[in-house]
Amino acid sequence: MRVAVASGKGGTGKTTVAVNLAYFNGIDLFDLDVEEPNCHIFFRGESREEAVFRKVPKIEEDKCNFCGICRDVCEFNAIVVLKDKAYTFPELCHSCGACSYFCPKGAIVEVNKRIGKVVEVRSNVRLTYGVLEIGEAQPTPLMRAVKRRMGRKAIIDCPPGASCPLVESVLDADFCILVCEPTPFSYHDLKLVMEVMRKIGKPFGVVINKYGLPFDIESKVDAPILGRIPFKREIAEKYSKGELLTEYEEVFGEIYDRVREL
Amino acid sequence: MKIAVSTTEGGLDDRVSDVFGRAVSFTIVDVEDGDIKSVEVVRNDFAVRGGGAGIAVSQFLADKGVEVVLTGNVGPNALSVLNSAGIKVYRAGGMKVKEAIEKFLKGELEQILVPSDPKFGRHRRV
Repeated sequence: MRVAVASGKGGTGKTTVAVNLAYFNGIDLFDLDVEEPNCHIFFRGESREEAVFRKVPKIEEDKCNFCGICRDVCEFNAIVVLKDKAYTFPELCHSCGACSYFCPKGAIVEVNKRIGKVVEVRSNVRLTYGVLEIGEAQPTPLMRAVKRRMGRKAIIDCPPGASCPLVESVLDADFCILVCEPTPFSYHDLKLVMEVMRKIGKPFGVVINKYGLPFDIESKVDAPILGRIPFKREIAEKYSKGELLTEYEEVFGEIYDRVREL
Repeated sequence: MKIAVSTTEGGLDDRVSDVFGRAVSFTIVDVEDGDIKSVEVVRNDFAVRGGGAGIAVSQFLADKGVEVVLTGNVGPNALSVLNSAGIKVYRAGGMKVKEAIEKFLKGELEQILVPSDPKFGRHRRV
């Protein structure tokens, strides 16, 4: 099965849970936080890279009759057609292809725009992650490129938040682990993400990180609790050095077992 | 000659708004031999779009046959479209529309040749 690890709030421990879950259960890991991937800090090894592109329109002016249909079908104001000029704003384009499809003169070709790269690392875990090009506004096309390399079994490290990138990252997962910490901030964002999960019909459970902090999140959460990672200095120290939590192998084994039961 | 002025309520007594793409309305004034022949106020429906408001507005004004724009600031994408369409842009933010047009006709307004930062107007809409 494919298990996604999400949270809403950033910094609650998605990466901690994802890397340890993948390592201790021997599952391939996919880091879909393409804006700020960091699972690779835990796993060094031989890596392979491949550039990823998306299609953007290019107008061939010698074929264009400046009718303006391409501009009218563009939902994103990415094309301007003047009396004797037509041009595009690739950074606004969402690569839907409508302009080239509807052009009556066949004057629009789709060309590649580089949006980032996919990196595969062979370490004690097989890790695949995406790195988004600086200045690229949309992470989702690159996330899809990373997901195309995913098999039936996978742990997915998701980006924070509750909008498009999160939805894209959990879409192909069979189950979603929501990582929270006992703070009112994490609880607030957790509620948002749980609402998203219910709306898209994705089964989920909750892992409480930094368990032992005084805020009672457990009795407030209306979802199965999959595990608790204690609030301990040694965990923070290990994480800060980019090390796996070897003393807590059992915790991550149990979380995965609970997920499989549900 | 058609002059488009970025405005809020619109009309000759309104003030020129600081933003272009996300201005609430445009007051389009037709001037012939130094006299105002007609005044039209168009609501800017592009202002509430996600991205590319300035591009869409520039396209709209170019299609309308506008030759001159009076505004406060204009972003890089919008200015590039306006320039391509041969529309000249002049700085008149905060002035009364009527006064701005008079100053433009007397050649007293500064032409905007350098765009302001992208997204300047995104959350202003004034």
